[in-house]
Parts: sequence; structure tokens; C-alpha cells
Amino acid sequence: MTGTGQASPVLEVTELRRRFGGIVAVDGVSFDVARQDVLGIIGPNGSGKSTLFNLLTGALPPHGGRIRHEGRDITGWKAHRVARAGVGRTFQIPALFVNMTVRENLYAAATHGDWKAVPGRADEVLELLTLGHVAGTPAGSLSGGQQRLLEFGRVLMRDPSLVLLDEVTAGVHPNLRAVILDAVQRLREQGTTFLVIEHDMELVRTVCRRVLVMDAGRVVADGTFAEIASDPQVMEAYLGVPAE
Amino acid sequence: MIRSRTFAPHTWRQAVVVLVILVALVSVPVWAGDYWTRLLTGVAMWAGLALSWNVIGGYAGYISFGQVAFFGIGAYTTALLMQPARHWNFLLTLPVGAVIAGLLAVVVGWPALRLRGAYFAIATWALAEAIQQVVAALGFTGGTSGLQLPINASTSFFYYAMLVTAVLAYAVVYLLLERSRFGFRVKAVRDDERAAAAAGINATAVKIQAFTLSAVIPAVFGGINAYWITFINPPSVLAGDITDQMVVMTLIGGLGHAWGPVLGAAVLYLAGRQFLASFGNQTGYIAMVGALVALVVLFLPDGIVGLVPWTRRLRLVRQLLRRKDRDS
Repeated sequence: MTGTGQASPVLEVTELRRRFGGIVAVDGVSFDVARQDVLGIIGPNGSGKSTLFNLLTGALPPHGGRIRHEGRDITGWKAHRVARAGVGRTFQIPALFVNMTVRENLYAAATHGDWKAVPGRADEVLELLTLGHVAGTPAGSLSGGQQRLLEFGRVLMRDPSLVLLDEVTAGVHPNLRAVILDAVQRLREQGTTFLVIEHDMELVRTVCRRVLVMDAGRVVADGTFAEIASDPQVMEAYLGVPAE
Repeated sequence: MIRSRTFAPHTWRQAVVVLVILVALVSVPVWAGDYWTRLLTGVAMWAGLALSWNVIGGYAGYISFGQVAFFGIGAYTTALLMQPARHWNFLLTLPVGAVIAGLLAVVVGWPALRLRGAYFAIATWALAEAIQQVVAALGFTGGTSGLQLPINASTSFFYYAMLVTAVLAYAVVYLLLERSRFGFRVKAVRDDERAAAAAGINATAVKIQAFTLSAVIPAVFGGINAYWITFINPPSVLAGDITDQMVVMTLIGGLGHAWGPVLGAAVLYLAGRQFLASFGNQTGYIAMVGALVALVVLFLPDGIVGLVPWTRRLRLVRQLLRRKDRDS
């Protein structure tokens, strides 16, 4: 399975597996993502989407399979090494440094590399995500939508080549949602690749050039939104309708 | 474009205040008598010890009940090296104690910092108890009989030794944890370890570095204290209540705040001495400390520092108390 881009894949996943006791959360998942692609990952709750993200970012070690990022085997790497290699992520429930201000959260996300460039980069991110007016506010005092924006901003501070967004617009005000989607679009044009877990099908339809459908830890469909929308296995996964 | 701001907008004003305080402190032996010089020697020592606990408890978010082990290691290193058979210069013994304490922190911290919440607290408490028992059992440490050190009767010598060490410790901790990228890493790990790792921060390494920093400081104070009190044994430099004092001074001064430990140390040490002078014992002091800790946890989670209107509100007390639930 190959993405829609023409260059070598940014991410190649082969036969990835992860168990929790007797439950197989990710069961032989394989796919790859081309540069500047926006790959949507959908599926019912418990289908293994967030576990897949945890495996790709080193938050969990896989029990089998291979992960290659930019041609380099990163299977089993610790989360901080994966992040330094250029993979950024957000969490399903925003994970912020609540005792730091918004600006300090951005600084904390960029402690490796050119430290002198960090304030300037933080200014750019604050402007891109319209968070400038709350730069000095403790992160714990932000609204839910602003917290998601800040978490996204922290990812951008590292200028990653691959960004994994886990329900980044869930519960977000439409105005802030537009800010996030606009930022995704602009960054994609500049060369960033995205993996997006979403339940909002309208967003998936408009943003994702390709969609992966997961159910019970497996990929049950892979294609454009139009292709997966007419796929009987997808209908079964979502609605429980038996495939004809 | 949003204007870039430095980390603190009032740096110069703070510098002037610090300078005035430093001048006042340096001249203490000139304008204060022996009694007050000795009292302020104690304040300087406890400010440094509370600072060391603030590094691991306030900045890194790990409750340690083992800090006294490092204090005792520093004390015994100085005492052993200054015995007539070795006859080391006092000042040269201090870095040796600091290095031994730092190495022990790395060795212990490597496995212990993988534990969370109460489990880490228990592990560090066990470390302190084990060190106390080992020192009491060994022959070359003097066992339960302890060790005598050479006598230095100069009050101002120990005042300056404690003061210089405390000022240096505060300067190093302030620069590392409030002004450098290392400080951002430590606080990021404290607030959310998963998010810190996702930001490229090696949480294990950062926690060990912070624990080592918090171990080196009490070791130096332990060495100076041993020379000051001229006789040490396990109850005098390895008793668990020394750590307890560090914890309550930090909590009451302001957990996680740069200046919390010095405020807590000054208030509690002077109050303790006052109780002793007035009533001949510290029973009332202990009751007062218990009440103060309860009040701080309930109503003033940022401690005395929190009374200053522009102090940043932290959620550390709540965070530490809920850590087990959050991490499990």
C-alpha cells in the first residue's frame, strides 16, 4: 500500500503488533505514508488507533513488526528518541505542562537544538495559532480548545517532518478548529506529513487525502474518503451491518 | 508580530534587592552578637537543606524522604578525613563528600526514579534508614559512639562557611532551574512525563540529574555541620527528622518556588529556637509545625511565597498528593 505522494515514504509500518494480556490491540498493521500526505485514521472506539499512535511514537514498545521513519528503523526506540528524530504528536486528552505559562510550554518543547532561536520560534507559533494574547497565562487556566491549540503548538516548536494528531479538534470551538485546520494545510504545503485520528467525518473528508480504517486492531480499509465510504467492511465496523 | 520577552522582566530590580540583602548578611558578625550569628548560621544551613529538597520535591515532583542520607554522608566524609590519622584540610573534604553523595544518588536514582509517588518516597526513606544502620554497625565510622572532630571555636568562620555555601547553592539552583533549558526539562517532566518525552526530553536522565543535584547540596552542608558541632553520631546527622524539617520548611515557604525554602527555613528555624528559649523544649514548636502544614495544604498551597500577590500559582501540592492516582 503506498500513499499518494511521489517521493519515498516518510513512514513505513510493517506487520506491527501489540498485545495487552489476551487482547491484541494492534494486529499486523501495515501501511506507509508519503511526504506531504495527510492520512486519516478512523475506526470505532477500541479499534486500536491510539495504541497505534503510541507504538509509532515510542510511548509503547511493539511486540512485533517494523517502523521506519525517513528510511531509518525506529522500532522499539524510546519516545524521546523518536521525538528527536522528527516525529511529533498530540494526545487524545491534552497533556500540558500545567504549571508553566503558554510561552514556557513552547520553550519546554524545544530544549534540544538552537536554544537562542527558541523565543523567535515561539513568537511565530503563537502568531500562527492565535495564542499571543494568552502567552503569559498558565496552561492549566486555558479553555479546552486553547489547550489543544497549545499542544499542537508544542509539536510545531520542534519542526517535525511527521506529525500525529489524536482527535485534535474534539470539543474545539469552530473558530479555533479553523485555526488548526488552516495551520495543518499551511504546514503540509511546506513539507510536513500528518497522521490524523478523527471521529469527525466531515473533517476527514475535507482534510485527509487518504483514509485508513481500523477495526479490532486491524486495517480493514485503505483509500480515499469516497472509496472507504462505500466499503462494506467499513459499514460493518461502524454500524455492525454484515458485509454482503 | 508578538514581541519576544525575556524570562523575567524585573531582573535588575531583583538584582538590587539581592545585593542589599547580601551586604546585610555579610556584615552580620560585625553588627550582631555571637548568639544571632549562630542563629543565622543555622538559618543558612536549613535554607540550603530545604533548597535541596525543593529541587527534587518542588521542581522534579518526587517526594524524597532520604535527603538526610546525603547530609550524613557529607558529615561522615568530613569527619573521617579530618581524623588525626588522615588530617585533611576541612575545605578539601567538602567536595569529596559531595562527589560520594552525587554518585550514590545516581546509583540509587537509576532504579528508584522509575518508581512513582509513595513508592519513591518509601524507597528513599529505606535508603536513609539503611545508611543509618550501616554507619551504626561499622567500626571505622565510630559506630553508635560516633566521631570527634577537631575544634574550631570561631563563630564567624562557620557563619561565613554556611552563608557562602547557601548563596552558591541558591545561585546554582536558580541558574539551572529558573534560567536554563535544564530547568524547563525538569519542570516539564514534573508536570507530564509523557508529554515531556514526546517533546524529546529524556525523562529518566533528567530525573537522575535533578536527584543528583539535590544530593550534592546537603552533603556539603553535612560536612560543614559536622565540623561546626565537633561531634557526630548516627542520631545527630542521619535521623529521619532532619529530612522532615527540610520537607516542612519547603512546604511552608513555598513548594516549587525559588525563594520558598529560604523563607520557610528562616521562619521555622527561628520559631523553633524561640520555643526552645522560652519553654525549654520544642513540643509546642512541633505542634505549631503540624498545624501550619495542615493550614498550608488546605488554604495556602503556595506557602508563604503565595502571600505575595504576583506570585505564580502552582498546583504542586495537589499534583503530588494525587500523583499515585494519576500515574496508575
